[in-house]
Amino acid sequence: MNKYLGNKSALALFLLPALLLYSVILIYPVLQTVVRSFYDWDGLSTAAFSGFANYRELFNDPLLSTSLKNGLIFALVLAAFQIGLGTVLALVCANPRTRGRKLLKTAYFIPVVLSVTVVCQLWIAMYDPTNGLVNKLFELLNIPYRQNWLSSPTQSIIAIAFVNAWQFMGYQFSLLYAGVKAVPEDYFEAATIDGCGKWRAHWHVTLPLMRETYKFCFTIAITSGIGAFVQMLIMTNGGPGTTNYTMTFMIYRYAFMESNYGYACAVSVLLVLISLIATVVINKVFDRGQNA
Amino acid sequence: MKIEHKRLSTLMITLSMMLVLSACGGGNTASDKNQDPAAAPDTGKIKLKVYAQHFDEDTKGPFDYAVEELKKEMPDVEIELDSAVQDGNQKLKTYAATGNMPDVYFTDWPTLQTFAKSKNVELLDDYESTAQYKDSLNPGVESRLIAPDGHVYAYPDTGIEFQLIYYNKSIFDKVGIAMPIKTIDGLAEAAKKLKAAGYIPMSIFGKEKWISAAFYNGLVTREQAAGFGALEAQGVTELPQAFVTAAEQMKKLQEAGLFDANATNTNYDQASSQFYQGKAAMFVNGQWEIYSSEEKLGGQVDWMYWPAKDEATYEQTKYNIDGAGSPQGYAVSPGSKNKEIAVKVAAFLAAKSAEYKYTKLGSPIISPKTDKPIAADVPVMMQRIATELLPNAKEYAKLLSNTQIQNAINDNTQNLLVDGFATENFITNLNRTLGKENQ
Amino acid sequence: MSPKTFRSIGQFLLQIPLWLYFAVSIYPLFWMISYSLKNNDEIFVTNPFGLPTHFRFENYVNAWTQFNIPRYFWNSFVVSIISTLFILLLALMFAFAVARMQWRFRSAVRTYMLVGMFMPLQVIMIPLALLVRDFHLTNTYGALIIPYIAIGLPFSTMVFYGFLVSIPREIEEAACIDGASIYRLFLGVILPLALPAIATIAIFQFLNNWNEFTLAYILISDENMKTLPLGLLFFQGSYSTDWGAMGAVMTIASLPMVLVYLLLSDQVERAMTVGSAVKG
Repeated sequence: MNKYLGNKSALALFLLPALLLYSVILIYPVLQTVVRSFYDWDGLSTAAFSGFANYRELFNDPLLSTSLKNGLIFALVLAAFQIGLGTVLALVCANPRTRGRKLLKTAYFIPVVLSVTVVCQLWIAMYDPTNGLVNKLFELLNIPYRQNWLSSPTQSIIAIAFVNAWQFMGYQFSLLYAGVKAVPEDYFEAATIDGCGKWRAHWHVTLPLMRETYKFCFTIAITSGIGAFVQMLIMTNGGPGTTNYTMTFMIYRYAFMESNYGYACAVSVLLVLISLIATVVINKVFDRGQNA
Repeated sequence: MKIEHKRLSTLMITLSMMLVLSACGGGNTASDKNQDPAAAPDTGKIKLKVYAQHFDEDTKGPFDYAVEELKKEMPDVEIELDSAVQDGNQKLKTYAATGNMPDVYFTDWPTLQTFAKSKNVELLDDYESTAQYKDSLNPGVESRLIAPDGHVYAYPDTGIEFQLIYYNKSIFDKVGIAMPIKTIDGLAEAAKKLKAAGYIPMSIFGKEKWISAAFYNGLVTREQAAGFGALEAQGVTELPQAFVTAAEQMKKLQEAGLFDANATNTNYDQASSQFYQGKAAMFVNGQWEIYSSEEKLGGQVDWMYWPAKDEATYEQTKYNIDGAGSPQGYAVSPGSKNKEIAVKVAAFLAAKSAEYKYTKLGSPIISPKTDKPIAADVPVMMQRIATELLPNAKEYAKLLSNTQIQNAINDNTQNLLVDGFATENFITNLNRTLGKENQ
Repeated sequence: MSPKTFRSIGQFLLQIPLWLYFAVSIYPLFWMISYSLKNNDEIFVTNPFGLPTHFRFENYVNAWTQFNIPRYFWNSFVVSIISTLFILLLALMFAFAVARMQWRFRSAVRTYMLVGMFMPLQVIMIPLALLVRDFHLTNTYGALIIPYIAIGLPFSTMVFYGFLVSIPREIEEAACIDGASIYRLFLGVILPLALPAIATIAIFQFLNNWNEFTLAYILISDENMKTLPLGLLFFQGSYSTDWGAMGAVMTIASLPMVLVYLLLSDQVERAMTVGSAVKG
């Protein structure tokens, strides 16, 4: 039997294609990125070792502070909108008396399967200052709040983050809804019988039991906020100026527009480190809640 | 277990490296094979691979003409065309990275700089063709051939291109704006009038950053003829006064409503259709826009000189050109097997391509002179350029090669197109970059 | 008012947010579809919000004939199908070797594969672009298919591994006694058993690859090789000002995925959220 399942040539055949492809296309580039972040390199001529020069320059780069700020705003908008509002919707939707649940879930999820380009193009149209739906709605409701949504140096990042939040709301909602459903019904009933109000019962019983779900939802929201790129690329191309830059945008610009590959690799490394720290912190925060 | 893991990863990395190396080697042998027939003497012809722009009427015409002429001049040379794709020279860089460079190739200054560093471009300084090419140049376009570092990397066909303000004469008449507009204040006044009458005063495709930079450079060149080129010098760690003035002027115009509120999200197609549909009264773009604007709006459209701070400055500087010559054109690969001939062919192709542009397309914007007559049906606006502007043009803007400074200008001038960005921010941001780059 | 009616009014009020968000989620899409059937005048002035009064199907004819949509569809289809098939095959083989076969380093190899799941795209993007360039793959299907396969592997092997590990040992013993080769065991026994997991991963990877944008943006510049998300990036020429035609292009591009989702909504939702079970 052992010999049967230890067949060396079969093992090689099963294992090597995946392993080889994975190593060449994923692991080798990761190592390259780390190594090259210590070089001055234009992607064509021979790289020159430069120690921590790229990192030193990076920490003085005004684009970095813009990008970090925007990443944070993006992450906060995602977290507040998708997880905050998503939780409320999931709790209400899980109520056994809610009608049309299937229809609601489907409607929430449809934007998730759309291509990000379509969604961005749609919202470019929605945000159009003269002909867009958003400003027309304000006009219709007689609220004097017409905006140049995508050309304001301060607001456009929020407008863009909202597009991402809108598209992937259904995804987070599905996770949260499954989380709510997984809480045993009698826990909740016991709490309401004890005289707790419904929302208090949710607050004290349902939500703490959804810790694992929240851990995952926050990790997704925060890391995709930090790594955001496509929406600003399509909707404002990072502008006006560089006001909509994020770290991935920096990588794109330094590597593919300025051929400053070594420096761009340093940005990549920093981006991964920040995402990693964020993930660890989120895990720690939710685990501590468990022990208390 | 940990050690095993490490050993295994090392193994995998070695394996993958080997794979990469062997694949690269494979690529090279394949390309060697491609080049072999070039050396094969049996046809008696010298084959040269030429990488050139060849994707629409404007690029196919000059190249095909030049190749036909070459057949008469050098019958034993055979040209194998490799069409360039509009990919920011990625294809060419791939050739460079894999040692597969064409004998002759057409490219721009940023790419030439990279290739100079990686030794993928032949220095043409001492060739006989270069001396001849220098003698044949139109006045004022030396910077097209001779790079800022004093070397010659490529033979240019086109001359120095530059940006103009176009305006719709009928709209100006209707709103009651007198031409010429000579000052910034005058332009701001006009913007207010046009806006009040329901027009977009000037459409600009601000989604592309270079156009806002070009607009800014138009204002800068009224104060400092060298334009952005003046920023590329050791010790210029603070924005010179001319640039501060121009930034203040641009902000003033923005505040007067010259640009559409959505300018930074407007692309070329949207901006040009605003102008061509009569919704926008002015438009800013290169001199190449003359052809389509004449086609779309006929006699209704004309171009104006850039306004200045006062009338005296306007008169003094109106022939300053908002455009800098950067080296560009047909370059030669140092790895070419027939380098001597390739250099001659490169110079010949550039000269003949320019000849076609002048005689058939009616463009006076060419680098080498030609003794043949210009095309018959030249647009009126282009005639104005040929007779009024170019003969008087003494000062062209100078090239800015530093990409960091150029990018800072691009980013920050785009910001000047919208509300909520003050001139002070502009100055601070540029001073930061200048301080870093010009120390 | 009796407490019962009071409670049902409360119920009703409580559900209002659900339907409000229903509108937020759906109305932009409804708006897109309706403006794809209008002309600019109707969209901008006469009828911006509602259904079109006159259905301008010519927008769709224009979109299909003048825009490169069929080409983009085909490219997306080829890239997504081939990469999904290879992911399924390679990941299942790998998972089988790690979960069922007996050899020394299997746990180390499994961990090695797992690392890739936590690598964001940004960290491999630059060397990958150069790798693709140096392999002469730029502007070919391979430029996308090969990276998509590699990127899809870690996650898919994890899901397959979890599935295969739970299959009882007796299966192999029976196969061994029957004298079936290990390849027969894999193809004839394991593969059919894993079908539910294969379906989930197939949906997940197909959707991911169909909608992938960033890599395609960096690696593909040739108009003829563009996938759908890339092709819709710029509305050029007359498209940038003709909203009706833009709406039609976007509606056509979205339709297949929306239909797939409506037909298989539960499976798609399960596939898309399967990650939470593995990562969380």
